[in-house]
Amino acid sequence: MSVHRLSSVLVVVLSFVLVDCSTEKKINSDELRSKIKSAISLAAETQLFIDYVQQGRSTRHYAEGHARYIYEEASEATGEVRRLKPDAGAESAMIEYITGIIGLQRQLATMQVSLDNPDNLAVVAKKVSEIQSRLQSANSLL
Amino acid sequence: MKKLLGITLGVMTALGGFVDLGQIVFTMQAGALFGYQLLWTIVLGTAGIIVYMEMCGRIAAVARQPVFAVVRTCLGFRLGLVTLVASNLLNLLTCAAELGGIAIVLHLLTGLPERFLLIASAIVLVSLILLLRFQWIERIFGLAGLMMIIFAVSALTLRPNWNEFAHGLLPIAFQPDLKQPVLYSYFAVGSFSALLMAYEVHFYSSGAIEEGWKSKDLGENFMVAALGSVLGAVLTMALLVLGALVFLPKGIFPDILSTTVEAGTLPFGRKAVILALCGMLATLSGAAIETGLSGGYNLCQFFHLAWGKNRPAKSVPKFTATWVGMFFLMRPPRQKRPSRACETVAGVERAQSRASRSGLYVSGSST
Repeated sequence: MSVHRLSSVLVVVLSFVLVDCSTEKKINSDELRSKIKSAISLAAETQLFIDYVQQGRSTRHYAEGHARYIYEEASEATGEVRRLKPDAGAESAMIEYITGIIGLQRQLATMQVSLDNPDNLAVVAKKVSEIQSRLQSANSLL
Repeated sequence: MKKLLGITLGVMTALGGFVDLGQIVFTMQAGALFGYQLLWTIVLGTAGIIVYMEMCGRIAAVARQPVFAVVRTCLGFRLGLVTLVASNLLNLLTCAAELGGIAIVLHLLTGLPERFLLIASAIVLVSLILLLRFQWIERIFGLAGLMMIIFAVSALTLRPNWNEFAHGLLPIAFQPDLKQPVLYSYFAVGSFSALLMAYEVHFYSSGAIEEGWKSKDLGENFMVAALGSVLGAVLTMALLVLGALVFLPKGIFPDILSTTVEAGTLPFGRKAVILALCGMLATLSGAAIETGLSGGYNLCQFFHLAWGKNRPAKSVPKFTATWVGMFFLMRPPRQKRPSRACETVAGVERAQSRASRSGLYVSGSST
């Protein structure tokens, strides 16, 4: 294959990738429900982890590492929300989901720097619990 | 004592196959979704792998034939080659995944960057394989993997419901109130097939030849295959029970490795976290070694090339190059920027602002 032909193929492939990245992704109610459930699970996991740290069961490195991994989970979800377009009738659940997952990511960012501060961790746990309730309400809207 | 140490081949083989990176997370997910209802798949898979391992060990001991020499003889060159390519691709992917898991575990133990740990662990494992005789590799990683028993102790301490446990040992037809049958079937097939990973038997059969097993060792072959697999099954069941006890009631679907450590050490303190992480490190390392060496064994046995871990590396150059290649063929991902809280909060605010502009985010409604 000549260099010219190879570069043409690359340009076409790259164009498809770029077009795919820039367009909105339609999301049906089942997919949205699945995303909300994942966010609820993440909120529950965060609360379990905070409880675990507050009881002094974790090592320093484990706590820092795990806090970052949970945060990255939330970041992946928030990274794609801008591109999601819900089915008609699911907009309000979508808004609740976006509000919830962004709020969760914010709390996880705070948690990462509060592992030594039990008071801050308690506040984060309370807020995450509220987010979890909102997400559960969003799930019931579908 | 020698016979006792001989069991370590079965222990390392089974632990590397049963409680590797994917299996640890997948089994806990199964427990988190379906409670005890998938325990029977572990029993079935264990019976299957004992028969498969014993059979391959027997052929290796009596006929001195490793698995891939038999594959070529029975399937012919073309079909055998397809099996070889598929098998080694799986080995390559699994080896890369295990190395990634090792880097995560080491990061949780030391706090050092994962990318550095990924490369360092590959170098250390390759050096250990080069330096140690086969028997010492299996002893070190087989025995160190026993630290995973902390997961079983944790499951027992959290008091499983033994009635439900016993009911979970009955197959699908006897399971009451089965929700999400398609998802259940997916997890049933996944749990069963994960116990029958091909690299386990390729490693085991080649290991039997490396150790010079003969017809008189057939009794030991059965004992090694059975005891190793039963130990692996007990640990796998413990992971499923932990998923059922810790995650199911809270509605958590664990999908990262570090979450599983939490369940395995919940009733205990910091020392248990270190023990669990060291156990994981040993089993993931064992799995990486199994898949890496299996890549070399498969290729050389199929093409009738010289092979053997206990032979000098220079006398088996293609074997050595293949298994070393298995550890370094996969490129580590690009380094992400380290997450700092100030950056992340700013990032969240930017995301909120974008969502707000698109009309999907109601400003000020964040908790």
